[in-house]
Amino acid sequence: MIASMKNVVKVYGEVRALDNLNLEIAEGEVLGLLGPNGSGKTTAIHTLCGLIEANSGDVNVFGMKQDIRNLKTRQQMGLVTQEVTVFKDLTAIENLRYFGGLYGLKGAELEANIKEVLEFVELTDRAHKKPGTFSGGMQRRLNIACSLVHKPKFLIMDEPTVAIDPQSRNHILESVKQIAARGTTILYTSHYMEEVQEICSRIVVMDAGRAIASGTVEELISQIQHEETVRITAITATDILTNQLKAVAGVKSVNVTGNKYVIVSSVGSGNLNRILEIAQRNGGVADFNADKPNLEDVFLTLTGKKLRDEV
Amino acid sequence: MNKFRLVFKHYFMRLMKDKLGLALQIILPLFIILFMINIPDEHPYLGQGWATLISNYVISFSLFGGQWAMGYIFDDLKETRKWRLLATPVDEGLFRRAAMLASMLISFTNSVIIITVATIVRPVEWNNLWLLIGILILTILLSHSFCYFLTVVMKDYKSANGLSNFILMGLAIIGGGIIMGIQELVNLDAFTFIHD
Repeated sequence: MIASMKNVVKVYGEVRALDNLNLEIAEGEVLGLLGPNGSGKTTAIHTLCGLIEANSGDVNVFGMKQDIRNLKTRQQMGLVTQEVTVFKDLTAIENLRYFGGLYGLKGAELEANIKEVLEFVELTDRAHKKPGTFSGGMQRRLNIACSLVHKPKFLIMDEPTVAIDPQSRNHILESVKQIAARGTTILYTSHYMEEVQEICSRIVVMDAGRAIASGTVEELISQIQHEETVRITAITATDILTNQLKAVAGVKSVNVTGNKYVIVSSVGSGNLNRILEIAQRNGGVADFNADKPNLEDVFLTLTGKKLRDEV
Repeated sequence: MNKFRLVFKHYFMRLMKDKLGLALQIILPLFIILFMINIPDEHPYLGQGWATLISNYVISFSLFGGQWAMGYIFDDLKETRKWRLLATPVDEGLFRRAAMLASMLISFTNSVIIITVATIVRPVEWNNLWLLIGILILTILLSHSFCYFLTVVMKDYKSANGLSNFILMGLAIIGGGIIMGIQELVNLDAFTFIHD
């Protein structure tokens, strides 16, 4: 276990930003922290980094107690902030030299790391330019590079793709996958479920300062999925087709509107092929669609809220 | 590299690249001294000669040196880059001390440049230049210590800047009078650097 939070409470005035939060991050995993704005993701991250003191509970990183005085744990951690925090009055390479230096890097090692991260974020040709001349996506990439220059073992990324173009977002997501492939443990927060679904090996769903569910995407979906829905548009609707579909084992209901069929089955009945075969045999299929729940549905079911309500 | 040296160098570089800050600290006072004031030899301005007038300007402008670094500290440690820099394995106080020291060095250098240029261009006779340098160092120390204190106790830059403007402006206004008063009250050789 590279980091853990046990019953962590953080209160701001009357707001419980973290409400007995429990979180465990295993070495080498990419853990997604998913939740809407205000769910406590950033507070959780800041507590984990030792930037704010929890009111109660235990926070451990690299087997050490984490708090605002512990500078040792920070040495092997990297934080990619929500906002771009590079120095606009310094060039990209000066930014990297400074951040690398703050982590104690110097000389050839520092220069080698800088070269490597600049190539990694594809900013080598911009090394001697100031970030003010960069696009939003390039600034974000430099922001990430500054957090990677010291090669942290544990990287925390707080919504690194907010307000950037799809191309830069894809670049960042690909970069995260590559960083993870090198063995870096990553905690990735987002309110974009498709990002978390794409890059994370495990997901913790947060709401109102609590971790309300955790698991792989499939595990989370299976927690809420009790039925499977198949929609078919038949070329010709017939009573025979309706009756044969109703007779399939596991089918709970068949609703027909014109030539459109909505077939609801028990979860795990595995009768998708059978339904298609029957429909093909009895009039043919013009269109076919199987509803599959996603993380948005998981979140909606667990909290009654949409992930991007406040976005 | 020693982390203090690294952070000191970082702030020194950034302050030196800050064109507006440098203009306010060095170009503006020089412009005033070189082009906006003139004292006929036989009629000292309000009883002040060149040495006193230039001393007043140099000291008054150096009072605001601490505000310059304060802006950087607030931006780095309390606003834009707060979480990013505090997440590094460097003590928060080290950033403050390094930024203030870099600013103090630049403020002092700027003041020395102003004094040197003014001495070349204007008919100044410094009787005791070391006393002026001493007062200058104390003023820079006072200004930076006060602004350092504000970076610790104040939450936002706007309030800290407002408060420091009010107090430092007051000190700058009183400052000239204090120097003249000392000269009038204490008839010591050490204070006769204001020689006209």
